Amino acid sequence: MSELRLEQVSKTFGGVAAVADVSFAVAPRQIFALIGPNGAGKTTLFNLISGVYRPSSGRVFFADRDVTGQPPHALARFGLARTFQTPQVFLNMSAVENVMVGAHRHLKSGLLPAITRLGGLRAAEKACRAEAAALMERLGLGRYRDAEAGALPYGALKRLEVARAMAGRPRLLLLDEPAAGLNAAEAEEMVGVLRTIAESGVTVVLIEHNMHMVMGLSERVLVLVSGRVLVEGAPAEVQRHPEVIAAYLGAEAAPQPELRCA
Amino acid sequence: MGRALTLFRHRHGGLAVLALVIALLPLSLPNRYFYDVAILMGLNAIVCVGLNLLIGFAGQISLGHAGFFGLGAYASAILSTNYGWPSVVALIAAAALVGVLALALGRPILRLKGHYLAMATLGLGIIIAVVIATEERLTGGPDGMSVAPLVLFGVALQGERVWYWLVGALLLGTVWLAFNLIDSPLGRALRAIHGSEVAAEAMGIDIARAKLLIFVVSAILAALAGSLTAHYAGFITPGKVGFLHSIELVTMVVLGGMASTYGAVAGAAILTALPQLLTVFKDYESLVFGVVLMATMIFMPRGLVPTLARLMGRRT
Repeated sequence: MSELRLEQVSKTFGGVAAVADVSFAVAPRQIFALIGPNGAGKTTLFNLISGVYRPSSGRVFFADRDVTGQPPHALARFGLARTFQTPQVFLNMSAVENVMVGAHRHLKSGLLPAITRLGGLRAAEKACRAEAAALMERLGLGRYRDAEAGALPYGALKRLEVARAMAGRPRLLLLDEPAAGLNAAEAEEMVGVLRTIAESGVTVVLIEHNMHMVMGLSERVLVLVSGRVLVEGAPAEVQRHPEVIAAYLGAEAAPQPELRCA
Repeated sequence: MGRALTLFRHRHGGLAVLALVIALLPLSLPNRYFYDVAILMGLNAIVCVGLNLLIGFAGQISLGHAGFFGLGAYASAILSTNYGWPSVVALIAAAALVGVLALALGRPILRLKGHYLAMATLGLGIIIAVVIATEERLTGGPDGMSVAPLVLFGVALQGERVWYWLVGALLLGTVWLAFNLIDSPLGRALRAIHGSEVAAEAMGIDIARAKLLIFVVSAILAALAGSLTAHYAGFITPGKVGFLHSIELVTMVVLGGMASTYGAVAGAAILTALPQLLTVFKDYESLVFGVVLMATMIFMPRGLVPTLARLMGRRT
């Protein structure tokens, strides 16, 4: 039983292999980190998992169901949520409405209830708004509730994306660099947030360059280099791997947890 | 003024203000000619509120909505006048026909984005206009055709006063439906698509379905307004079907303010009245619309109502 499983997944763009022959499995309720240098194919891998790209070969299983080639909205309906490396916030909406969009899969999105406000829509909307506000409160976004999303500072946008993803009550959460661009205090806050999320029973896969965060938070780490799996294992094992040390820190340097790789 | 805007922020408050305007406007309408202008304003506003859902909220351009307007008008005219259908039935059938057509054509067209979508809808509108202008046997060709009056509960609706109240009530209803839609899960989905398609899809929104749905809704509203315009005027010509009318409709939406329902109403009202006020410039109507469109884009890209609201320090 695995929450997410990739079997020999490859993706080529015009003959160039962005991701080659990647296989791994994430157990339920695990925090699983994907690391690797820029251009290693981490985000491509997220796009393959979330249905933005279709694998050139290989299969993707979500909760032991083959979901290869399913469009993103179908995967979201199965309970997959994600955030983006550069925040893809709906800037034309208020912050709380952004979060409410995250709950879309639980709401009636038909035309008739929308225009007539019948069929329990009023009550559902009220509950959805309250839930979104509570979620924002939990993520320290309470004061931005009714602000235009476009007016939020960067750190708040990153958290808003996490709140939006959580609003759908997902079973699997993909986080693409949740701490990128955050200062040390904000990053620390984010670690706390992710811990609570994982404790609530959600499986988390994250891409992160902040090694301190990765090593402190995750139970499994997979290192991707040039689209291939270099090593996968517990954080301590991965940190000792000579090629990881070489790839990240230069051959002779010793691993330093505080170091961020470029 | 500030207080009025606060009212506008609340859905029912804004609706009450609009109802008040519609109710009190006749006091300042001195004769039938002014009623006529007001009715045309209302009919255009119905089209623009629908078009604004598509363009302003969902972010999908259409340069072919005059085609749906015209198709609704001619279908209703032909069914009621040539085939003797009861006009209300003809009107509903015309709207349904346009809805089905928009559903069938929207599927391939709405895959396109940006300029390509603009070109495709432009082409669609032109094709409809050409068909209507050339099918002389059915439509009377370039000369147009006369249209039977609208009969409601056995009474033929004639005279500007009756029509004024009918159109006013329908506009109010349309605005109410639009506000409900915008503030629903579907409405948020549409705005999310406008904001970021990739994120909207990742949230479980079926983008193709949502776009198609709003395309059909806006086409049906255009068709209804088209049918009503034909029955009201008692006459229809291909002029209202063509490319230029599509551009006029988009100009109304842009001037009033994208993603502002009251903006769409205001834009439709202003640009319906403007040519009447500037009868001297009758020959330059298209030029005036072009200048308005350009000036809006340059000096007031948000459009009239959102810009005014911002100046007042409020959001709409």
